[in-house]
Amino acid sequence: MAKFDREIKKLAKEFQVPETYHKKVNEILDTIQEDCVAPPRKKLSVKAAIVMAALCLAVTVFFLFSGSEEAEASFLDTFKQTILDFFGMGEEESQKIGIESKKEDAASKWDLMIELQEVVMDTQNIYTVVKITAPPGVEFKKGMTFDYFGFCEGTNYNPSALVSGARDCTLLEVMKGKKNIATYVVNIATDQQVREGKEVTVFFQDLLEGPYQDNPEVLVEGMWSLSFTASYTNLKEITVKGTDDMQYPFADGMAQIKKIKLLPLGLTILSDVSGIDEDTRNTTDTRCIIRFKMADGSEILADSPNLKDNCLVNGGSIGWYEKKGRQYQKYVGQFRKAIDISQVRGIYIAGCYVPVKG
Amino acid sequence: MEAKKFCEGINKCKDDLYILALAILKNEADAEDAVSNAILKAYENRKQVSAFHKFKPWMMAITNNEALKIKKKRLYLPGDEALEALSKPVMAHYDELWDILQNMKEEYRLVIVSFYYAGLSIKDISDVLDIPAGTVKSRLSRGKAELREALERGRRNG
Repeated sequence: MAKFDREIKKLAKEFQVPETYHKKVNEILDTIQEDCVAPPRKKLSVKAAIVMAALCLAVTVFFLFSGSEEAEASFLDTFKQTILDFFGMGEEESQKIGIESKKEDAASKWDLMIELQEVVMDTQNIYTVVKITAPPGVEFKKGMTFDYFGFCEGTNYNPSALVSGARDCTLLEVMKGKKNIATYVVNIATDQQVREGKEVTVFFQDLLEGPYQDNPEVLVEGMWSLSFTASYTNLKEITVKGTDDMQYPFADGMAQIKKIKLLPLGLTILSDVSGIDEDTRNTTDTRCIIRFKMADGSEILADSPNLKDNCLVNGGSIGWYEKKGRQYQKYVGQFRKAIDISQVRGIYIAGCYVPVKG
Repeated sequence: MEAKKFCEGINKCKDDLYILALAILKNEADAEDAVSNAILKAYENRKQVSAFHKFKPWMMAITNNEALKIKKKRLYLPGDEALEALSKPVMAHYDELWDILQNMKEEYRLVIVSFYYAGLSIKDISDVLDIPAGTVKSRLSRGKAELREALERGRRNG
């Protein structure tokens, strides 16, 4: 090892990790170890084991039959709402806008049966509708969600291949008469485009009630995942290239618009932010007022730093990267309902007007 | 993997996890949160460690993801969380090497931290940061050059 490397390693050892961190980690590790101290198992007699095996077989047969009945009932027979309803449009309107939903068929293990039913996907958004069948004692209602959920690339949950971005898991409908069965929409807006043909896994962990309360109740514990092949079901998009004069105020400087991509379900704005100090950028609220000018003369407020404003953008993310010595900012916004992008005539970004040719 | 073994593994690499998270987030409280989340997620998915062959690179990959998630989230959050994240104090480390790293480009900083602080191999860094091994080598080489220059400059200026 070179002298320089040894010198750096020596300096690296001088780094002091704060005591608060050690305390926090120790608390987590103590909890993990406490949770794992299980009472010793009692030995079963041969007779009891036979009785147990027979019971297990009976229960399995019962569930297998009830499961096959469930499978025969189609999605539309049991639930009225589809993913198109979630986007606030009917089938005809969806064709006009250019969104198609792809029927999917995949099911998870059964302590909580999760079935993948529909997928809507474009270059920055993934929406899935899943049907969830919980044990009979569980009744789905608003405020019930998963402790952890999201998407990753591959056919299994893989924390090192997570698709990053703003995610949401929303209850769409509870089945009439069977409150332990419901559909959820799980979606993500990502700047990390998932290429068509790649395997994608949507995963869920621990169904709970009251996720934002002090003591959320875990209703069903476990990890579930379903995979599907990425395929863009929404092909309509408008891309606008920015010009040198398209600049808007951002942080303590000006950002230059390089590219805008408009989709029925969201938008991406790529800006050159090289002139803005990195530290200032990291500590500034990145949101600004974005408005769409529509063909009928009306305007839609897409995004705003004012949290009270009713904006079209429901969530999103900001990412930065560097290319050829320039610093770029990528804003990804996901819409709360689908829009007809052919009707958008222009976009105002913090007062800077960008004309759109639909 | 048993809970006991998992905890032993964490104890061996916890400092490296923290340093990686801090190199990404530049904020002590956020770095602590990123590692806490990573430990809990890793524990729940500890069966997958075999896919990564080694415990430490696997944990570092999860920490890297968690830190990146926090970094993205804290800058664009609906509600008060953004303000909360911004209001967290940024503690300065009066450490010569760390001070230089703080001002270095993130892509070099992460490779330097993984190599010198965590002692990972080029292959492991490639797995953790999800970049090709060739890119790790070139970033390490450029990062080292910057580091050498900054250290020499610092010593010249006393």
